Amino acid sequence: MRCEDAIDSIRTVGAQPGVGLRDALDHAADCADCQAALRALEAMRALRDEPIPIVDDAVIEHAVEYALATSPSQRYRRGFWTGLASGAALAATLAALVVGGWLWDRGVAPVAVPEVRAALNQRSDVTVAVESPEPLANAEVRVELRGGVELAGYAGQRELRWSTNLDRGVNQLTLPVVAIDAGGGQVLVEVTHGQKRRTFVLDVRATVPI
Amino acid sequence: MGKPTVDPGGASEQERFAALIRQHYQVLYRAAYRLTRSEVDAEDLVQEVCVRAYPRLDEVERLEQPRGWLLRVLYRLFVDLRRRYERKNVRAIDENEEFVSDEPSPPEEAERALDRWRIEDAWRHMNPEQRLLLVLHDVEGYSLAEIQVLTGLKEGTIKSRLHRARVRLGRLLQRGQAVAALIADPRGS
Repeated sequence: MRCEDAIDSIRTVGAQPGVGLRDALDHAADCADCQAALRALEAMRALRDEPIPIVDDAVIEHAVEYALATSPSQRYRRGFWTGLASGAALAATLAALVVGGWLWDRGVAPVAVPEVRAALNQRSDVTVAVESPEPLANAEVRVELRGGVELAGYAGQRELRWSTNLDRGVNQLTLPVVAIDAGGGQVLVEVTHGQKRRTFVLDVRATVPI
Repeated sequence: MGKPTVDPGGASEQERFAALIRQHYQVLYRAAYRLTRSEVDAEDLVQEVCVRAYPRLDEVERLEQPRGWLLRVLYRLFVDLRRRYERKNVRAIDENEEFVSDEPSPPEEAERALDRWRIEDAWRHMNPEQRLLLVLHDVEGYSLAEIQVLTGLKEGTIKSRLHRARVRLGRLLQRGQAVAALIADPRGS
């Protein structure tokens, strides 16, 4: 009889009554390995019955916060908000680049931005940049679409919200804007952290190819 | 370019993630504690699971049993991060536990404390793979087939490794018993 089978028979006695138990016990009586294994099983039973410490809710919340602030997802999402230098390759596709200082103001008027021209029904990448004096975790970003504009890949959605981390320095957000109506429209970008907010409004004018 | 993640009209990604973790944290913590035998290491291990889970939130939410996926990540992390949890930071004995007390304690209480000390000491000398198999099978009660899914090992391999782990633990316990007897009666009388 193999040791594994002997231990299984002894371990499950009661669950599988009579299944080779006599042979198993005879084997174990003369087998040092099996005796050690049975000793271990007894110890494991003690561990199983041992109470598990209770975790405070604050520990759970900390784990969540930590994951949100440090997981690779945040780095991935910084593809949306990237350092300006790394975004240089995008420059050729930019319809507009608007840099706004992170003023930590409350309820101030939106940043004035130049008008963006976008070919009707074609994607135009529009980049907004915001400068932050310090790294900020979990800044809220809201994009609102007004009139005849959409974001490529988000047809029909008039508003998108998500959280992101801002790096110290210039962070940029590139939006794939599509003018779906000759009348054009507006894209509002709002970045909020706590009670501080920064708002950009982009006027999008549709151009029709001749 | 990154994809803004939003559930239109519903909870934000952060809220969904928090709900997922709150729902499964205790189960993850229990498994982590049994593996590491340390509250601090268990919290640390579960936190690592959270970090790994967040980028794959959409994928995890689509699973019928997200708990299985989270546990799988935990077990793999425990083995992968073995240096962090191997033979260090293991609670050899509770700091608040009066193992040697000025006041006489009931014999059975002392015996229990001694047993616990022996198990902790032996556990500390087991490698992470061995601890993992013992916890999964002999403590958590997973079947060999379930462990196969969790670890990716073949059933026969699990069975033989499990047995080797039990034998090793049993021998370590026996050694601990001999040491304990020596402590209790240094003259061997």
